[in-house]
Amino acid sequence: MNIIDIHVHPELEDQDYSLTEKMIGLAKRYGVKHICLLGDVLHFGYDPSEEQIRKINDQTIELVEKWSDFFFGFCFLNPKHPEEFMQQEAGRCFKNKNFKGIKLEVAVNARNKHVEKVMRIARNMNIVVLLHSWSTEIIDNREHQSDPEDIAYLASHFPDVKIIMAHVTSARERGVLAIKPFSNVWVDTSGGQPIAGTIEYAVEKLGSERILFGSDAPGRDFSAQLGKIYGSNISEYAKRSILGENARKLLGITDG
Amino acid sequence: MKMPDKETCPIFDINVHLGCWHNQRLPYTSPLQLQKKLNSLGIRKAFVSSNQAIFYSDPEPGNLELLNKVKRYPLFVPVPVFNPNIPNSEEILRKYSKLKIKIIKLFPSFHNYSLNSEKIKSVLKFCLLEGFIILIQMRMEDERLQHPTLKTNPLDIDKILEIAEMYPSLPIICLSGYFNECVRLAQNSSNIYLDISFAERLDTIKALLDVIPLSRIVFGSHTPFFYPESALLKVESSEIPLCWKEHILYKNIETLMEER
Repeated sequence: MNIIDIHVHPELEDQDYSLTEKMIGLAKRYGVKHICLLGDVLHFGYDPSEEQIRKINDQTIELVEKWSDFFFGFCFLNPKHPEEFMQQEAGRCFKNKNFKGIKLEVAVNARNKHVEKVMRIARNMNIVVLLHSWSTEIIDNREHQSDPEDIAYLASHFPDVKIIMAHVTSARERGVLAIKPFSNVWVDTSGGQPIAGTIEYAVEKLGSERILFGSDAPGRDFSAQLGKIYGSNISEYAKRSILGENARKLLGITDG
Repeated sequence: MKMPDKETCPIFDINVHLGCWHNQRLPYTSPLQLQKKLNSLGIRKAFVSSNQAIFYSDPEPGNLELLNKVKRYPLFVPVPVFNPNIPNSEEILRKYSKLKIKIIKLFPSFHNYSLNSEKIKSVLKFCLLEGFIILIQMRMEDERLQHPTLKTNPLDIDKILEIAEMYPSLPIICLSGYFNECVRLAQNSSNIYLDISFAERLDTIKALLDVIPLSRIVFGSHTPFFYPESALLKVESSEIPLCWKEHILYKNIETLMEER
């Protein structure tokens, strides 16, 4: 099976590529054909400066160029920065045809007005936006963290922009229901423990076409994260869709 | 990716649960379903405890319910939930000892006691003399995903290390620890064993073996809370000798049991 992993973070400290090479080797062991690199998004904390954003994207660009047959890139942005800077940064990343989307982390909540600037850029460039999301019922910090309800709010205001909501494990049933009405929202399976029933519920409510496999490596292990899909009680068609076909269609990946 | 031959290498799962849970719609809530699922993956022995017993004021009726439910299913080794705070806890332990039940599971976060209390020390002393194995359930869920009004705190690692040092001949198996917790527990003790259900890092098993002796890692899946395939894949995918995998999959637990 040609798997696409939509959610992997390189590490800025990996100057000699040892971690990257290890990740590639491990991923291939599991049949992963492509990985989407989202940048070392928390290396400089919640609110990276323009210079720090450039550094993070420099690394993603470098890795995507060096392993162009394996990696795709997402351009990491901080929505608090001026729209002009973000446009320049997106333009710089998207000179490489292997860049597929924009990544937002925890600088601001998805409802924050600043996020609208990013969504306008994504709309104009016709690219997807992958947003971190985690239920704040327990962890609080909603100024930075986005609940699935916040992602739903954003999706309702930008119905023509495709959104990937990360971490369906955290969203759980209520999160899945929150984004269900918005056909412009996909979810990824990355991160969290392999909680049984999560994938089945998401497939039942959203359909398998709106779910994308992600691991959140290297903080997470391909094994445990793939076990979620292999162990779920869903059809083989649904598993194939989640593991690669949906990402291929959404991101316009034509090989394999 | 290779696993040892299923005919010669049974899998023993030290971390299995039966029953419903308030915060998760669990699959395999009957012993038949659970046995069928685990058997299909090559698991031949499952050390199972009752979810209901955790919440009963006296866990013993819950333990007996579990015993009655699983007695017809050869896969299961029932493990009693033990609360040292109940008034007849010593009587219960003596009963277990007479019945040759030499393994109990502690849930300090749920039963609200400190692992270095005088009460627990006397329980552990008895367990040591009678040759028990202690399982400590470090958590049932990721703390970030608990029910908002039914939360438990993570266990204090220092207190686990303290009792391990106090009773160095008492085997303590810590279940559902995160990667860093497992490393700290194993590196600072000689009698603490760890299951792999919650531990996760790139190439988990190899990463654990880089810092923990092989003899201290045991297979646990935390089924049915987790997909058991995840724990199995951690072992299957690791590029370690097959004989090491056998130790993790059953030999380490078997050795501990044989020593009892």
